[in-house]
Amino acid sequence: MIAEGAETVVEIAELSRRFGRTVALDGVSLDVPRGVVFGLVGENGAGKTTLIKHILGLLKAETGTVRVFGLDPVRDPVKVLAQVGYLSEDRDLPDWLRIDELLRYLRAFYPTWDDNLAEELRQKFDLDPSARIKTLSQGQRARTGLLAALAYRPDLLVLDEPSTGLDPIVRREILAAIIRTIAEEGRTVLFSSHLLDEVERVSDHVALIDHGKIVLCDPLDAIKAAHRRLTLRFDEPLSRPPALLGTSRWEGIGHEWTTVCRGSIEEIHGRVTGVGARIVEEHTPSLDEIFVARVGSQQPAGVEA
Amino acid sequence: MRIHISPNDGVPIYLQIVNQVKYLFASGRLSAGEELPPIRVLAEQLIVNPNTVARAYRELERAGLVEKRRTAGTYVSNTGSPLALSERRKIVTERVDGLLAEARQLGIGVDQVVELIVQRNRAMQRLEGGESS
Amino acid sequence: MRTPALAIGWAIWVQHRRGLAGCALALLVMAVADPILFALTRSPAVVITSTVPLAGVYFVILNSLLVVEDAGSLSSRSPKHRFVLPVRTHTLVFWPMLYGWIAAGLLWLVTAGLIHWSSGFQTPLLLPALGMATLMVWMQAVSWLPIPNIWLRDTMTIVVLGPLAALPVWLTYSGLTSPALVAALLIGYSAMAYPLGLIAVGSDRRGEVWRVVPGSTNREGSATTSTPSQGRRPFRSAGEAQFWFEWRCHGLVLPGLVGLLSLVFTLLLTEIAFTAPRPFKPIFFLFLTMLVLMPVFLAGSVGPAMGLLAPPFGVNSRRFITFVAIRPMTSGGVVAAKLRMAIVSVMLTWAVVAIVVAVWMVIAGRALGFWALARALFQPYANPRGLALVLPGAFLLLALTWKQLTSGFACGLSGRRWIADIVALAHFAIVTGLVAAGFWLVNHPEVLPRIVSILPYLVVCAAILKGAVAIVTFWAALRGGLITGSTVGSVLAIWLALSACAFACVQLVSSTTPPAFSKPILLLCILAFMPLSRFALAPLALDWNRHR
Repeated sequence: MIAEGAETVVEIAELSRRFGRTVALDGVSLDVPRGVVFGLVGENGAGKTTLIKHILGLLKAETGTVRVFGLDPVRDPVKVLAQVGYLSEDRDLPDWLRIDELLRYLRAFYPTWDDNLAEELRQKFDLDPSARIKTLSQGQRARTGLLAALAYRPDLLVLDEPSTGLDPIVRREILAAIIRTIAEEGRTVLFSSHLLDEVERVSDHVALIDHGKIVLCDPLDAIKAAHRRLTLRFDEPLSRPPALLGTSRWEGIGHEWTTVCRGSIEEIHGRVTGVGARIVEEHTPSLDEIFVARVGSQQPAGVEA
Repeated sequence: MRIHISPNDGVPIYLQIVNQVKYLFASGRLSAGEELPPIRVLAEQLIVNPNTVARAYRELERAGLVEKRRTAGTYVSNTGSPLALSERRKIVTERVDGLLAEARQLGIGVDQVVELIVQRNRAMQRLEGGESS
Repeated sequence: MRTPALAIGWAIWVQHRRGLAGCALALLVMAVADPILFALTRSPAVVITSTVPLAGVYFVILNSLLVVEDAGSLSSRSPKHRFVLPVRTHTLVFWPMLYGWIAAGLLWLVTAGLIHWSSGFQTPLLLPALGMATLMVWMQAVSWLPIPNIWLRDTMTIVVLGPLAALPVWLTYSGLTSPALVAALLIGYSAMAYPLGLIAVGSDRRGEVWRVVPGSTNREGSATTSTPSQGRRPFRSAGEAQFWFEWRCHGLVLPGLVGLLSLVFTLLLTEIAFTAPRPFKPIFFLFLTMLVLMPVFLAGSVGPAMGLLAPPFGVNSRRFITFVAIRPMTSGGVVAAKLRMAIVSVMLTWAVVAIVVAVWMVIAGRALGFWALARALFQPYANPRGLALVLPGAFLLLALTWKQLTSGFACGLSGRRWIADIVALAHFAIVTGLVAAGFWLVNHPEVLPRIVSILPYLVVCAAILKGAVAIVTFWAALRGGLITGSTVGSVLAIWLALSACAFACVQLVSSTTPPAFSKPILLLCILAFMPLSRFALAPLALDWNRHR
């Protein structure tokens, strides 16, 4: 069903979308290679859910193209969706059904449905088959939605904010399920999340969206290699943060200022000495710090030291 | 095998795994010939990407610490002792480097540091001797 | 905002100010326009049409005071979202009730005084006003009961209020007591609503839930006593699964509604059969006609709700489209499952009607003599022509109900609330217009021949329009890949088969009574009437909803 030797599972080219006057996506281009965990990161309202809905065919591309497994999800919903598992942010589930009825209903749609896997997951997630979905707690709903999405071993698993609003135990289970999915050959996971330490642990690729534009889209290692967290010491105390190419946010006071800086090590060192400061501490920043540095509210450019 | 990962450390996750395995081996909690958990199982236990664990295992294999037996998994290699010793030395060397850097920052000279080490060693021996008697 | 009382009143106003302002404007316009209108003519048609805007006004005002949605929704008129405020339960109950009482009573006084009296109709002032006010506070009290199921709460409203309302109405019409006593009774009723409201809101505020139906599902965790569905055979195909899903959502709506209403009719019939004086036969036949027509009319109103992808009660169906949209099933497949579900639902409905008719025959038989009645009913059909008419006639009746039911599907499937609202409004306007026109025609019979003469042209126009719409929708659906050529073929076959059936029936009937129109016109009329474009329109609507 999937094109032979396909390298990319999802190809998005120059996708734009407006809702009324707000621009939700602006010229987004993205490729999700096969077999990776792809993390989609961004603020609330940055466009993550809109992008995911385009991938599933729930939204039509106004400009640009979306291809999943080489097919257009709007024109060929059957072929595409039979290989996609989706857990939405709202965990859209039919409240009036019981869990066993839900599974019985879903099984008819997916030729690759595995009864044993469904039963194994159901026991692992501790879900009572005769429970009505209306009576489930948030965590149980998330687990039920995940069970429904995993039981047919989809080639692409799409999760929209899977851990948001859940307690740490359920979050662990969901991440473990993601990892189990990846460990099986050829399957891909695309998930969006706010919880950056989870994204950091689990992702191979990370894309950062801000106000509908892609800010970063690279393998996680490359992103972490391209940024450094520096603490600079100036000879004179500064009242405002210094201006340094490749940085935008500074923290600190007086002599010492900390920032996350973009670029290779030599360039950074060159710039730092150019500004007349000394590097006191130098670390690989966490994804959280990179996110805040690239996306956080714009600070006014500082004065030259 | 107890490994602890913290993604915010600044150290890449695969390197954390490598270091911890080395430490476990050097401190005797991993014996020669023992099997390491499969990549999938360790990834699920640590909640990290299997590729990261695979990379760590490759690193360890390259360092000669583990060997991959086909279809049987990954095992700690039997060529144990000299590597263990060098690993142990390496760990302590790192600690000493840290100590020296800190001492320099605080303005305490190397001679004072050496004297302090001897002093503290004597105190510890006294304590152990006091306990055993 | 000085006091909680003012705050509560202000909250009602602020949320509905446009609606309420519109209502005030509409009342003003009617107060001016109606006297002039009724000075010109007193025909029933005009009277009926003039009640329509009034009904709209009433609906808006009562809606603003009474809508009860799920707890936590800010638009709910239930005090639930005010429970955490530092006010006594008395405040939360008394002020909304007072506003409701005054508003309902005032509404009647305004319409009666301004509109009816100035138009020359001397409608009674005091009693209806008190009646409406009492009804309003009782509806508020009952709707605040912490009963978990919405439909159960609505049923309780009817069950509780029905007998209560019956008493003053009977007292007034039977003339046993003076109006003053009835007024006092109504005021007493209103006063009783307050303690009921207090109990309801107090209990709700404490978090209690009234389980009227024993053994309903637990709120917390899973129901431990229910038996799991063991070994239910898996569905053979996606289509079958979707059919089951649709049946679970909507299958029992129409049969249930018809059953409920026929229960009411049955009670009425029983009462008349055993108490009222003699001319029972015409009443019985009237009831029978209403029973037979009821499913057809109900199907028309239930249709749009059935077009939704979730059950009509208790689910925020606007957001729910994702669950079905994600399934690897074509829009055509979903629509096909829905249409099949509609067929089964219609058959079940008519089975219910058949049972009810049998029951009525038994009841009427006691009053009239069973065999005499049966003979009267079936005599006209005893000849071969009549027999030949029965089967196609029954089939057409089912088809008509099904047509009515599915005509609203495209509307519901489109997922846009404004489409459903506009269509409902258009239906209402058309029906009212037809009724008014009917009344007008009754009074002006000389216009009838002229209308009859232009009818053929209207039929031709309708047929052409229908043909155009069908061609456009089918072409769009085919181009979008939503339906296959074979589906188009089967749809056309169904359409032609139904038309042939109807034409045959008309021929059989017209062999005794000569028709008013020529055969081709009749044929065109039938063709224009049979369902065609909805088979393409429904998938188009779903596709439009699914891929926004």
